[in-house]
Amino acid sequence: MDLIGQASAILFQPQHLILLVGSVLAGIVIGAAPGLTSTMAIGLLIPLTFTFSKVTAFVLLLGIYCGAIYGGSITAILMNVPGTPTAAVTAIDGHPMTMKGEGGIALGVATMSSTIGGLLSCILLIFLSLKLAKLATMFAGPEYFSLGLFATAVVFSLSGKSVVKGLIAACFGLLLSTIGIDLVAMRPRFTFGIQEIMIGIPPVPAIIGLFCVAEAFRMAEETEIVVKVQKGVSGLLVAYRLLPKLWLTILKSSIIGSIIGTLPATGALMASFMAYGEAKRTTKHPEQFGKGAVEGVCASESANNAVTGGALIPLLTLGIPGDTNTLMLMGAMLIHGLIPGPTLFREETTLIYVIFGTMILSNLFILPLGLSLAKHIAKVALIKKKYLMPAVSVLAITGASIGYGHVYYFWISIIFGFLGYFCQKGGFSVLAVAMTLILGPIMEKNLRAALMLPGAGPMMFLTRPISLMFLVLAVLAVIFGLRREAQIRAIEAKGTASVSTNEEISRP
Amino acid sequence: MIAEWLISIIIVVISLVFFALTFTFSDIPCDPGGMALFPRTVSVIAGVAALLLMVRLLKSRSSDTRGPLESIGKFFGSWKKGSNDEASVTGRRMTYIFLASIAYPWFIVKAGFLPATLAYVFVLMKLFRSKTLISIILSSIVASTLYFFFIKVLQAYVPPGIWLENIFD
Repeated sequence: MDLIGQASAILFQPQHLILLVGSVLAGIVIGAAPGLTSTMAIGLLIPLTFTFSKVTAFVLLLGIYCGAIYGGSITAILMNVPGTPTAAVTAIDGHPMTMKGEGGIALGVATMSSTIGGLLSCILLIFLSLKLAKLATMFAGPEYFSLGLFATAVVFSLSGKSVVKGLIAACFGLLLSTIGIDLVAMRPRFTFGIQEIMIGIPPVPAIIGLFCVAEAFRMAEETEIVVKVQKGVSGLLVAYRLLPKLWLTILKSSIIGSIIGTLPATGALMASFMAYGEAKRTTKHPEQFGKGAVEGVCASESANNAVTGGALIPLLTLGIPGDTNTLMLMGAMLIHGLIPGPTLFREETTLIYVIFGTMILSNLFILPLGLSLAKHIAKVALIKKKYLMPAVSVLAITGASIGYGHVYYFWISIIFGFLGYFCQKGGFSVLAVAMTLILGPIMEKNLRAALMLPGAGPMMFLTRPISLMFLVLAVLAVIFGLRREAQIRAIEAKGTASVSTNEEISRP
Repeated sequence: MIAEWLISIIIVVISLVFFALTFTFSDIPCDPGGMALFPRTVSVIAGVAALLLMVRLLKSRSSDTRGPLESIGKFFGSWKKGSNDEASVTGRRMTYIFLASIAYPWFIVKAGFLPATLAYVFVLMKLFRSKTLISIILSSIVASTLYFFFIKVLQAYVPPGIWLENIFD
């Protein structure tokens, strides 16, 4: 109770409350702007936290995170332009509702579903992370290495269409993570005599380069979408009358979102799709889905906001980021000298409770901010790419690097921006590169620590139960990934076959 | 696709170089894994996977999977005179954006943060065919806002530029 009191006292300080409201609002605005994702929102605002205390930094970043995940739905519903990729599922039914004159109701339902979904995931976050953190204290070198291997296997197997490409991306990240001074032997590795490379690849500029700079480059090649603002959006507050009809969908979708959030390499888009599919499967009127079904909007939005709490569980307890957003948050933690994992629960207990409290308050603030400002926020979709791209590009390059005070970090942001751009073009998982860049040092350190134990050998990874469990799960993830790839190939082959058959038929 | 070939070739080269270099690392008796174990293992897996992908790319050279030479040929094709289709224009613009981005850190060192950022934003805006006056105004606003934010709020070290230092010296 003491910790809850301390955390509340910190959070309810006027400056933190104002900052939280501002950050949730900023998150909603950035999320609503097409091309700017929640990952970019966090990445671009990390530099702002350089001079902040740990608590203030996480109040800002978590507010942005929750706000941005919701913000994408506004332009998806009103303009059929999903602000974030996750909002694409919301647009399937949200925009048809707008076209029928029910845009206000769709927005209201999306706002309420997002709030409830986010709050339910906070409950899971609080209970599960406290339990899991205790369990994680039993982990030693072999368990951490196997856990890292499991997370890597899940990421390279599930985050793209091809397992081989995923494996290449993961290995690339792991190799890059070995550059610099070896912290055990204190000798340089793969530095080629260049002094700057001695410090290795700094993770924060690299990750911001991979996601934000690369995204700015991608923005440059996309064609400008002409959007129209819908006038006369009303009925936002009427949406609460639909709650009794929608509560079961919200509950189910929130559970789906929270669980999906805890798994590495999944994220909000997959959660939205799964919750949407489940809502369509169990509804009495599946034919209305895609034509403006309010349950579709509700399922998608509660699931994608429920991911926020779930995704923080592996990050906080095990130090394993589950998706791109938590990867950015992990970068921010590293900047502030925090090492996520069981140590965080031992040494930074107040901060942990502040994080829980911030997540709850952020989701609560979405409700009034969304209901009152959504119509106005939608106008950010009108900002032209020719103004947005240069600003985002320069902010992404400089923001991540300026705090370090050396031009080497600018180079890292830019080179990783190119890398992220070409990886995405070639179908290689950018998430796999980024995640293994972070996981690489953890895995290597624990592998070497494990092998230093008395009587150690490769078999020890198979004889320790928790380590064995993670290795079995890793193998299962790869098998699942290979089967999924085979299915995708079969579907694509069928598609190609039917296209070629159609071409043959249409040929005179 | 050119990106698939590019990444595969880079990975093969990097894994070969890293694999070879691991044999130059000295052993430490108390560290049985040593500095070489992890990168050597990963470089072998990476190299084999990249070769496997290259074989797969060569085998399935359908319409959407071009060989490396064809992909490079297509890239240079967009620079031919009169190539004004959307793909060529975007290809050229992307090349200029990449070049401007490469020049940006170099220019920061030489000219300083403020002029370099102003020039970078201006060039990007011009590549999107923004009007010159608007580009000048907006790039000045973006660059000066960032400059004062970094200096005043973050109290960060912002490179002053060698050229400017030389003038005042």
